Amino acid sequence: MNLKQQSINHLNRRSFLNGVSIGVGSLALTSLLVPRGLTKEASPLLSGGAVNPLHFAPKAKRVIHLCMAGGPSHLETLDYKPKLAEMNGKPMPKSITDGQPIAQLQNNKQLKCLGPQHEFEKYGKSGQLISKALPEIGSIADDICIVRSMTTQQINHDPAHTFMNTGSQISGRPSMGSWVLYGLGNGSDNLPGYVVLSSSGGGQDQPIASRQWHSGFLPSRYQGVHFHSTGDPVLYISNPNGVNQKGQGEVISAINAINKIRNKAVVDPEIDTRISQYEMAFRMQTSVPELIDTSKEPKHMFDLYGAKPGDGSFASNCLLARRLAERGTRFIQLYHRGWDHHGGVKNGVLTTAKHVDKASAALVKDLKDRGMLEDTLVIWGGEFGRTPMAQGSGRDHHIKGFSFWMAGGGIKGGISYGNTDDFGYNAVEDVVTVHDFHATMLKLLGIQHEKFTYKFQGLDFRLTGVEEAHVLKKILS
Amino acid sequence: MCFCKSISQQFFVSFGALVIVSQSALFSADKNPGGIDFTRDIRPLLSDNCFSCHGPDLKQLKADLRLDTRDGAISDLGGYSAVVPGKPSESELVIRILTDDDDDLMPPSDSGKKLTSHQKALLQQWIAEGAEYDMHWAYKPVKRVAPPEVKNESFVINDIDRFLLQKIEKSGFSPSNMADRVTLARRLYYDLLGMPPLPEEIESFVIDKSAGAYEKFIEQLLNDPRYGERMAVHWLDLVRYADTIGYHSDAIREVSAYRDYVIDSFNNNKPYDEFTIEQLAGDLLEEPRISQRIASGYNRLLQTTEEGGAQAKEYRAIYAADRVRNVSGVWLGSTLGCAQCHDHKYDPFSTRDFYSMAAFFADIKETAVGRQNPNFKIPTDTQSSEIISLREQIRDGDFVEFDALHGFARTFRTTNGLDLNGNFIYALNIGGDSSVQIGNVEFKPANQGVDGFTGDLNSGAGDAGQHSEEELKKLLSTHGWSNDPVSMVLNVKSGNRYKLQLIIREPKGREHYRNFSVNINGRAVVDNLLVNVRGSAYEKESLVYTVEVDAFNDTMKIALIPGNIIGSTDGFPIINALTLEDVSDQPNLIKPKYFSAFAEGQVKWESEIMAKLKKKEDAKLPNNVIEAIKVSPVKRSAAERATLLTYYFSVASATAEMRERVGKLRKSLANTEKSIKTMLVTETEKPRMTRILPRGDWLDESGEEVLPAVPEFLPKNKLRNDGKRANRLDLANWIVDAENPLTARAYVNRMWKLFFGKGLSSRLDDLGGQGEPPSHPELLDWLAIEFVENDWDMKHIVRLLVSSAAYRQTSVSSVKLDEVDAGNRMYARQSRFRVDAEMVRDAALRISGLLIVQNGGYSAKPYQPIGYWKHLNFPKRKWNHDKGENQYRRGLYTFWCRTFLHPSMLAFDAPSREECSAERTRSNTPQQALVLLNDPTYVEASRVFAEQILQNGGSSDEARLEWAFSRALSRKPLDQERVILLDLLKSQLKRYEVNIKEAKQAASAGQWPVAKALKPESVAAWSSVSRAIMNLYETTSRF
Repeated sequence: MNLKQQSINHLNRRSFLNGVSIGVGSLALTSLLVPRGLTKEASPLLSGGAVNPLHFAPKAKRVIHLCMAGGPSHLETLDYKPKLAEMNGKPMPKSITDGQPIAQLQNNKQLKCLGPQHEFEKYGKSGQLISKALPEIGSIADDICIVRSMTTQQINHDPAHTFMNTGSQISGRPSMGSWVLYGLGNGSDNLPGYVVLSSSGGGQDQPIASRQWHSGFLPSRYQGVHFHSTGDPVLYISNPNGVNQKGQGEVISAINAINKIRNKAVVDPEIDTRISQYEMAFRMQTSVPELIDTSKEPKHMFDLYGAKPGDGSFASNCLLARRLAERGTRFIQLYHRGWDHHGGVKNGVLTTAKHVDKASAALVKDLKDRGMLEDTLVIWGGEFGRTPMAQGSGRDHHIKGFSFWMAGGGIKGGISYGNTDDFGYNAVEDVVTVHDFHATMLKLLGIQHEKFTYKFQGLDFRLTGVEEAHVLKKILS
Repeated sequence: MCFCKSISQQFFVSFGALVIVSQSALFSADKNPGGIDFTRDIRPLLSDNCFSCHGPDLKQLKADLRLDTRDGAISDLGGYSAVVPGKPSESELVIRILTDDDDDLMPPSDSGKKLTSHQKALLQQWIAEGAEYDMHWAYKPVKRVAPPEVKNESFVINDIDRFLLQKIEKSGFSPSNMADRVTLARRLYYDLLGMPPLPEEIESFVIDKSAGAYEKFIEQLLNDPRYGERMAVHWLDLVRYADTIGYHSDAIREVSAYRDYVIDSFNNNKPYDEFTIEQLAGDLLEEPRISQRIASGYNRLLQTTEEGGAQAKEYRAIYAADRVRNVSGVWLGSTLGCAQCHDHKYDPFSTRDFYSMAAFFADIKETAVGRQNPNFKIPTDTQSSEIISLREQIRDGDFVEFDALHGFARTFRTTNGLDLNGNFIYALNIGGDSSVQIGNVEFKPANQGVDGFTGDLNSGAGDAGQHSEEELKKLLSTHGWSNDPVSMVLNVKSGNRYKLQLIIREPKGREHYRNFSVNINGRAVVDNLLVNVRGSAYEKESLVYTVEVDAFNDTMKIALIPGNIIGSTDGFPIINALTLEDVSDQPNLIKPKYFSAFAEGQVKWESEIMAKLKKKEDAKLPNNVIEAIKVSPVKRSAAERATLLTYYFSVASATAEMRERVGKLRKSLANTEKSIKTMLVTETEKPRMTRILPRGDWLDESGEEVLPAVPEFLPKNKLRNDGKRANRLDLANWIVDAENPLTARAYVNRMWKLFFGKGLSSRLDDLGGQGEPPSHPELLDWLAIEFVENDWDMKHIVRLLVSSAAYRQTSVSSVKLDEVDAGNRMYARQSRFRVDAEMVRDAALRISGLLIVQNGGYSAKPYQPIGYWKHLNFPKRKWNHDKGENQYRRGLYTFWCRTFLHPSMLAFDAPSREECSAERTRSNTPQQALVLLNDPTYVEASRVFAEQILQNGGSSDEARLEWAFSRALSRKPLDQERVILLDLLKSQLKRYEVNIKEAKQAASAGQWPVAKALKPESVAAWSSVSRAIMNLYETTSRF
């Protein structure tokens, strides 16, 4: 029996990665199977996920999150503070810092201001102020919305990432990528719907836990799949030594044929699912290498991103992100570990910027050229910012005000939103919480965050938590 | 979730909203024919739709209306009430759920909640029937209900069947047929031992037609050591057992002894109450056994951090909350953790309850931010004797011991028990009021005169304090051993050799240490000797420390200088007696050759250096050594003496040979000590203050201080009432008190899930208001009582469940049954499911014959993709997979890295164990296919299985296939299956025959030795067949 025939079974192909693993254990979800067959663009509100129909007409169909891990200094990147420059070396007013959570500066008796270490320049028609350390991002100033009033609740890397991803500091909650995949379903029938890529360079290699892309209490099929730059790009995607693709295909055919025989005797929907998942796995064994193989990309693409094939760099990952987006992956998350500049923030920011500046901008440009930026939401930012106070020649972690930018799918370009005080310490205008950020992202994807819940331990959990969260309406196009 | 803020502020304000609804309209929807059961029908409705604004959380209370109590619901809201018993049409609640006016509608439309017309009808019927409230089922006392009568008596094997059958019969169904023997055997193997059976393991059971064959089989499995391993898995999920700390660096920690304790407990069928007490408070038991101290490691299993910049105070709060979530989840099946920031919205847990629970754990000694240092050693017998032997070799050496840390040389030996001959010139009882007999010597109290003692107890000088004899006696006898130094001067004869013995009597108490030093004439002969007292074992014995010294004068001033006490103790070690004996004419007990040579050498060396210094020559010595030499020997401080001694020791020719020899011994001692398994156990300190943190904010110090207490609304018997602070032992006793309504229910419900696929109350982690009322409440209670009344006998419950007729039913459903009971809540058939991650692994290893069956030990590292740990840092680390046997251990021993759990385990839904996990999801994903197809573990197992098939399966391919099937699936292949697999074999063989290179690769997968006698192309082709078999859904599923 050939595989092609087998793959046209009674289950919709699109559902392989995403929805069919439903058996006795999850009856409540069976209803999702029905509308999935109808997703063929019948209406913009129909989705292949749990939110169906969508609550709003979506502006974005997918998300690319460029996670600047380590906590980029907003003061050297996106938030210019001339007053802080004047205060350089002078004591930080105690009225601002007293009683506030602080990380490594806990035992410092006197906190001193550290002026911005890089100059800022006005970029684009919009004249957005962006650090000279990020000239390429400057070149897309008119496409991005800079949010300068972000806040978070967690001051250490690990919990801060967890909070940024899941909206909670407690482990075991689903990450935003899992939520989005759960809500919208996958757009690909042979690649995972939530992919994580990672790179490092330019600063301390802070660890990143796989918790950051875990599906938590959502079914594990919504978990992010971590692509690796060494070894198998997707774990266990390669055939064993001495087994070629044809041989592997024969084995899978035999497995599925016998599973079908078994299913005649016991009639178990889990076996149907199993059969389709083996087909999907087999397809992935072809589609993943095809995805990773960038040899057919023209040279000017590599130049645009500043990437070399297979170097595992952030630039290569940006190129892969675009390829994934083209192929329908719903949520793509890129971690670049390299922004933890406790010391030497001046050179540190420059070095890390060299890894990410060009490629981040290239991704936006490339998506735009392909007409994909309008329905792709690009997010750029870290788990927190850094203190206006010096930690030697660097800056400590800071959660009361920092910056990130967004572009594409429903975001107004060339604007900024919110402000910090003169020191860049507290967000004071249009303060944004992590939950607001999540609510906004969901809104762009067509989901009303209050209604987007999942029952766990008897409670209706949502990504945006229990406190009120607000969509940042001013930044929507 | 809180939708409250978007709701209009005043809910029940005006009569304007009153709409008169006619009685007939109210009952348009169908009535519940059997009458309303508040717990089953109404409470979940109210809880889900109303309690977040009208429930127990008073801070979120809207319109001053509570619907979680009857008093609240019927209270007068100003001329009207939400609920008017018996009168739905007058009840504001009814009006508001039926209204068309969006402003008045409840639940509000923007809450995302919506009542169905059936639910609306239920609420009306409930009010019409009198709006009776009932305590939530899980909080009611557990009641034994007589098992019901059933029609089909012949089905019943035990009482469980009656409860189930009653409901099945009521629905007009019959139970399913009994599964065949092979299916039952495989089911029992997976359920009780966690792996599929080998043909020889079930052969006799399958053909045994005698009565009681099934029961005999169960007993055999319950007594199999693999049972404990299987049962441990679900417990380890609950208590979030892992090999790494979880946060940030996710550093490695050693706690595998706890895992082994759990396995042993299940195997030994430790009663659940003991099991509970030992984990929560093993350290607080009187003279805890080693296993109980290990069990107390439960309190240390939570996630901790070492992240630089993390604040201790914040993490103290995080750890406290973690423990509350876990203890309430594991033992009470409750979500008390939800009350961290606000009173629980659905259950009567208050924020005060949350922090009072946290206070029980405030005595646990731990590092808030940083490394959790191992605080317990668990040597094997071999390690223990090796250490004793090495120590004796070191101590019995000529010069004996040198402590570079403290900078001293000492010569002494220790013996347990006494070797006294009575020829003392001095024997002083300094430990008590009355004479004591030690060995054959009577020691008189110090104040009654001392044989041969002519010295002056008052003449202490130098670094020893001055004491009158009275004071000395008091100091030493009252407190065992005071913290002040004492000294005495004894008359001796210059040039003679003396043996000084200290006889130390160990007090009763827990393990502790004490340092002490002995100076003779200002030089340390015993310096910072560590007295190690281990519990009551040595209570009746004495330790004798013996020092031999040469007298250089006619007096000998002996000073005893107590040092630090390490560890907690109920008493102090007492120097019971001190003896001095002239041994000049005896052979040297301790050869003083080094000591004399060393001591003399040092004097000579010092004077040479001094001479050099006088001549202003460069002595080529470190400055601190030179500075110390310059000080006159009698005026040197302890530090200066240590400096000199340390330095001289390292260069003295007298000690060269000894340095090398003892150095080696010390190295092996250190290596042995390092190889001892360690554990994080619970140790206590003064309880930290626990205060209520408003909204869970650790920076907010305005909250009230609380003491340990159990949730206010639950029965409190057994928690101490003597006014003393309650501790973890009190908590544990309260949890396992027969009156506790939650403990037994939570446990038997989870056991039910293990053997029937789904809990009687399907939400294993929440028996509370938002959980699911049990499908068979009487059965749940009957089992809970059975559990408690049989002294919490865990195997008894398991035996009951798997013996029942219900358990033995086939798992194959019918269309008719699926229509009415697709979720199988009636249990008119068995459940079927893919087995847990660990069992998936165990199956492959077992079938291939690779599995090592051995209980306990360090965690194992199976093959894992290279670079999978590359995101870990502080420190960076590599996963080096195990070589040899440890590679083939059961899945439960897999090293559990919380942030990067082994990808194969993760793919099959093993939890990261960051939090309590009562129920694993059972997904069915392409990643699982990739694992079974391509993970080297499974590829190797298939290759070895192929070799086994070729070696043991007979000579024809048909016979081999049969052999393989019986091993993997306990059955023969069907004709169709035979055709498919033999076709596969043929086609693979054809390819491998012409591609020997690939054949050789496939035939040598993994590190297990290759069966060289076999042809690689045959092994490769059969590997494809065995991979197919290993990958079958049936192989890793329980039917």
